[in-house]
Amino acid sequence: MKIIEVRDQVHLPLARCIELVFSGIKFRLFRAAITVTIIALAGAFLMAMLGEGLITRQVAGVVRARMAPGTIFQDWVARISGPMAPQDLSDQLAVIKPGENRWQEFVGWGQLNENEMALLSDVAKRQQAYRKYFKEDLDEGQRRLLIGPARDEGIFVQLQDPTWWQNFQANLKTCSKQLPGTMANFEQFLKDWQASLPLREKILAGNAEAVGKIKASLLKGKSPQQFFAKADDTTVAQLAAVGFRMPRAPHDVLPILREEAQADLDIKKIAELSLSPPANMAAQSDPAKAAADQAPAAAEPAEAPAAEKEVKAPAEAVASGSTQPSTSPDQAATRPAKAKKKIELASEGSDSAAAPRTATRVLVKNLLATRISEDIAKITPQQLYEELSTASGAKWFCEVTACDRRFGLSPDRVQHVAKRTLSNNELSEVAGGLGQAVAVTASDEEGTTARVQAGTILGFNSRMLSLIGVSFMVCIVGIANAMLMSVTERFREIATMKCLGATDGFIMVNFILESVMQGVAGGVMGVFLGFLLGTLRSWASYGSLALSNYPAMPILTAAGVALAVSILISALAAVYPAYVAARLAPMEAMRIE
Amino acid sequence: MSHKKKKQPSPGPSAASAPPAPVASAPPAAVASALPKAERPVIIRTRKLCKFYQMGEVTTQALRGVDAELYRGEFICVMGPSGSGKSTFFNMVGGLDSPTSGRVFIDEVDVAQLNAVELAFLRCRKIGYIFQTYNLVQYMTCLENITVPMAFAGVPADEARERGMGLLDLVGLKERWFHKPIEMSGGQQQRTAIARSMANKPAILLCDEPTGNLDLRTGAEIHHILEKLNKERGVTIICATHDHRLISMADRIMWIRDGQIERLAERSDVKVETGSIGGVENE
Repeated sequence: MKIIEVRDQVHLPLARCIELVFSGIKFRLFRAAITVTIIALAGAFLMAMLGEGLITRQVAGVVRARMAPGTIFQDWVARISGPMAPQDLSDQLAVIKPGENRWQEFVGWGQLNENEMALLSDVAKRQQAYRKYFKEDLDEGQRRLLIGPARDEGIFVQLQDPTWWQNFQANLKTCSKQLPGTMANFEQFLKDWQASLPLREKILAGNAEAVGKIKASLLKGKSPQQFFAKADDTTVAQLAAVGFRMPRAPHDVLPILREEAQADLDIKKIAELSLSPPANMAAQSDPAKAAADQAPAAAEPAEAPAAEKEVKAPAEAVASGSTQPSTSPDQAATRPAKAKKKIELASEGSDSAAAPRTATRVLVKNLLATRISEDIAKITPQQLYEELSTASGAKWFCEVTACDRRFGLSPDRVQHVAKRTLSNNELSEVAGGLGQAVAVTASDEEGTTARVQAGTILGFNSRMLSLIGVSFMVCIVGIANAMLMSVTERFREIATMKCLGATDGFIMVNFILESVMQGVAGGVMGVFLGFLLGTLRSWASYGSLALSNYPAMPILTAAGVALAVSILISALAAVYPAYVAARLAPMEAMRIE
Repeated sequence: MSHKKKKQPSPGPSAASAPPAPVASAPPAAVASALPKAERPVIIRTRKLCKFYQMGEVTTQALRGVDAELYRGEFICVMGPSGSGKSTFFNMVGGLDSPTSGRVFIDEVDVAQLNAVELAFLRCRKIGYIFQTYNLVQYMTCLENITVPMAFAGVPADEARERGMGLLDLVGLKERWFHKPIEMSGGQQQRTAIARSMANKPAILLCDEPTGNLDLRTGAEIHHILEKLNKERGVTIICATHDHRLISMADRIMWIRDGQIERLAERSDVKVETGSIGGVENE
């Protein structure tokens, strides 16, 4: 008798499947375009985020490294110019480790033994946790309920009072967030904190005494900048004598301190000569002189028109000098003489000792206004430094100020400090935007590696991550919807295919392949778009820093990741629609709507 | 999977007691139709075929115990009002759906015993389908549509193309192999669909209202092709239709009503006249 042989159905080769799918996509180009757009948007979003995150990290690293000398210098200036604040002490106690310079400084000032220091350090660490609780976890109302108007360390002082303590215990239950750790721990902490206070006082007293000694014996009326500008090995010894300890290798730090201090002094000189009102640094370090400067500054508006008239001639000379090189040597030679004459004219109107300087300032400002064709009242320090950072600008400045003997800087030096100031300004602007990422901590000076912020992946915080997650959920739903629509509108086609001998597996593969192909197209477009977007955005926020420190390899990796994720989600989103299509009964082909 | 072998035709509605004829190889259709009825080889056999659809609380009994035997090489028309279970019968016979109870043997194979992949194999090589709405794949050319089932059957591309052109020649569309379905008329599309259904040389051709969407003249082309396939190639044609000209070409006519076979008759016993098919049913 006859038996028909039923074998397994042939599996279509992948190439043929792709060919079929491709012609299908071509036929339904518009719907495919929508799906591709969804994937491209999600991919672009992810890529922009990744790219920006990577560039931000890179820039943060660079800014950190470049700002490090300035930060170390500022830190030292702050340390020798005034006693430490209690909050600073407790912050530092929480991060330093035994044996570090700061640790030993504190031991020296407080005349403490290691046990006492260990207690302080331990208390400071616990204090950080509780401080965060009171400062960040509680809202204003809850905080007032628990501890009244007290803030920061005042809280712990207040809680020593039994009435407040009872109030605190009674109301704590009503708070949305509970104390970290148990109540017994907190009580213990309060006791320890109270016990640590005298020890801290000892350190603070020792520090204040040390600072006082420095003021009296080392600074002798000089500013810290002037002091550090001449820092050498004896300085290290002098500082060590009162308990200040230089980092591991003083020879690494000393040149930094000297250079930074000298640059600060020089820029102050330039600012004094050209900008009014005087720069803040001058006012800080020398109030008497600043006050003297104020007086002529008030008289300045009256002088200005006269000076301006005088200035016009040399200014024109400069202008013509630049356009007509043949006449310039001649005029350049006469310029200093004219300038000197002008200063004498200007100084006639003033009795003050600072008059020549004020006159120079007026002259420089006027010349500068002409030079960069800007209204005299609107000149900003930024514009001055930009002008001085060019070789010709620096040379011009030195010529103009040549009459002031106290100003003895070479054009190169002027250019250098102007550039440095500009780059510092840019850096601090960028650093302001970066926030926490570039915060240089005290222990950086010790060479400790940068602490990676806890709880972040690829520089994303949890909020960013959830945003990306949500966007991809939306994307998956969108693709699944588009694919389901595609299945629905192809019911008849799928059923016919099944009538013609297509297996469930073929139909499933078909739909997943379709989605993956759209995923590849959308992913490539999205990654490219996101790359542009991320780069442009970081360029807008960090300027040339973003481009000059472009993390090419990580960005490429990120592009690969974003592409893979795009393809993966489109494959994932197609699973259910493909399953629906595969389960479709072939008899649907018979149906007539 | 087990293959049910048919030893002896069981006494069916139209089976008479006759000595079993040796049917080791299928005789040509022309010969088959000339044989006495009882000696014809059976290609599709149903046994107490039942199909119930569960619609929430209500169970719809689409087929209620259908026993039928369809012979190799015959042209049978299935008629019945809508909701009669005609489509369900079609799906069962075509291996598109599995019965609730009872059995369907296609070429001696119990369809209920086949898994999904084997069903796909069966549909691919044993049965050709022709639909009222043609169901061509819109984004493929005429020739590509015909070669799709061959691809599923593992025919190499070159051979498939050659065979496809041969089939197009058969239906008279050789010149239009590169056209997309949208560029063709209904009749041409249906002819393409017929060529596609014949792609893997099936033994059975299942036509669901093949001329339902066509006018009389284009319908006639389809009739002609179907007749040619039946007579020259010995293809068994099972055709659901209300087209009296198609009915007049059939060997047998089957009426289904309320999920059961109401009547199964030789065409020669039925008077088919234009405009009087309703009268035929009432005979």
